[in-house]
Amino acid sequence: MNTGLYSFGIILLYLSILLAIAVHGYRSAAVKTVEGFFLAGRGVSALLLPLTMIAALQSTFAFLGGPGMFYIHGIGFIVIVLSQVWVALMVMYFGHRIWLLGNKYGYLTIGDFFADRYESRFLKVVVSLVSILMTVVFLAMQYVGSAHAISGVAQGAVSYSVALLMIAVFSLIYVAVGGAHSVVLTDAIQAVVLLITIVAAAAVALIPTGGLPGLFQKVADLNAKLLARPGAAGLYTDKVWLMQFIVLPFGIWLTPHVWVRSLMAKDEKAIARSALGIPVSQIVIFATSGLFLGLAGQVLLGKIPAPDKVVPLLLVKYTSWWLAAVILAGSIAAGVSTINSMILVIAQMFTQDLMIPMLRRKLTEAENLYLSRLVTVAVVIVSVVIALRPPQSLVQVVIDVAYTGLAQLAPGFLAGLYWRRANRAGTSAGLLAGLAILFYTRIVGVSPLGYPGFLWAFFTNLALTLVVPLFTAPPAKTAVERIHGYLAQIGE
Amino acid sequence: MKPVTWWLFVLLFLAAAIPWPWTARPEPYLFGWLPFPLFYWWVLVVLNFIYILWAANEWLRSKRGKAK
Repeated sequence: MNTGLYSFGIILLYLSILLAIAVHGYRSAAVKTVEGFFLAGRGVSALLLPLTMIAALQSTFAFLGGPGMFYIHGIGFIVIVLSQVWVALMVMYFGHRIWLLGNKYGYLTIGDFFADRYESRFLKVVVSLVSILMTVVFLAMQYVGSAHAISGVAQGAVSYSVALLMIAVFSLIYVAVGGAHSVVLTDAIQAVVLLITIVAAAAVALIPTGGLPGLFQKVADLNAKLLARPGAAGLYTDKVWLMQFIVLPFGIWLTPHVWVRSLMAKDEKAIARSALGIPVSQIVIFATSGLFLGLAGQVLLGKIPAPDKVVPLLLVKYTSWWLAAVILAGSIAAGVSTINSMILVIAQMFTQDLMIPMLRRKLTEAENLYLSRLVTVAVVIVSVVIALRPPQSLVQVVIDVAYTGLAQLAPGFLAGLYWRRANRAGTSAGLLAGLAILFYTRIVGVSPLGYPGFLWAFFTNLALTLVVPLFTAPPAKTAVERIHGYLAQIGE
Repeated sequence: MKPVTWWLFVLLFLAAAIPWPWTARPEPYLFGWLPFPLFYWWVLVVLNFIYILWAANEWLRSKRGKAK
């Protein structure tokens, strides 16, 4: 019996069921406006918003990269939970402000806010380019992770390229058909599938190790360095540990497909619940299940060449083929749901921030919608081309390039939201200097005074954003009143 | 953000962000198997969650109050 092919069939069935749900979402929503296509008409409820937030935030990293990090470094990787839990507060406090302004002025993208607050088309373009560049890299990584998971489950019956093509076609249909309505609906199901299957995977791994006491006792005998900082590979030194709390959470929150969920909220209850979805998913996925899976990999598998594959290897070795396929459908769920959200938000920024402003005339709603769907197709093609020649380390690229780059938007964004004196000169100088330092230190590979380039980039950006306005002309009163006057008027 | 919400955040943030010396060695093993750093971090994870739950509730209540 070719179990690989049957396993592939289970994944195909799962994706087809989701497709039917996506089509249903399209029919019931009848998407006729750009706001409907990209933001689900700003009407996502308190039930669906936390689930779509979990699905967007938790990617294939939950099943592949995360347990791989616990496998390499040990329990110290729990720092991801301890540092990122504060993204929940950002969703509540900062996200709520942008939700209020989005409802009032019809913002569709982060670029819209920059353009409005700083009266600068230049900033809108830079912010959108940074967001698109970082998200495309991340999107390609999601395709890589999902295609690897499928070809792994199929045990060679399906090649990486075929699996990649299949995911691309399915994700394209999910998004292009019903836009955010379909994405939110399928996200809700995929979030539940992800949480259930990762717990099931951890249970599979804990049985042969003798439960929690057996697991930790065996790890202590094997390599006690896995059970404390700085970890088996010596990564989590005092300095590195502290740095995880400073810049990265801003990068996570400003990931466009996470941030844009603030604009989708129906009401404040939905925003509060979506914030709660973050710690809930972090606890289930990383603080417990992923940690157990990574450590169990050390005990049960010994040395493996690709730590990212610790979960598929454990499942193939310690459970039946069909259960492995069902559980790994969770990994596909994590990947596809993040892919859908990313495709949508990239197409959104590309059409609304870059393409349409360049056209000399105003598009009708139908033309805009048609253009958005065309760009969606182009986004999928570009990211699949990148994914065909994947970079070596999934985790490294995501953490080093995507999040630290997106964190560069934080100083200008928050100063614009909270400080009347923040102006175009300061934010432009900060953003450009931050990006230049970030890319220069990455490319040259230097860490001045022993601190990584992203810290220098972030704090230079922050300093310029705050200091330059003190020596340059204040922002126009109209722009300040539009943002801060309105927020003050409604008691914010 | 109310002062109490802010100070609780600062306290929990520092409790996690500072690389305390007791997280740099696995001993003592509680119940004979649970390494102390993991026990400490799990306690923080739970406290953080309770805090976020409480802060979200307070935040929502204040927004509803303003709306009325």
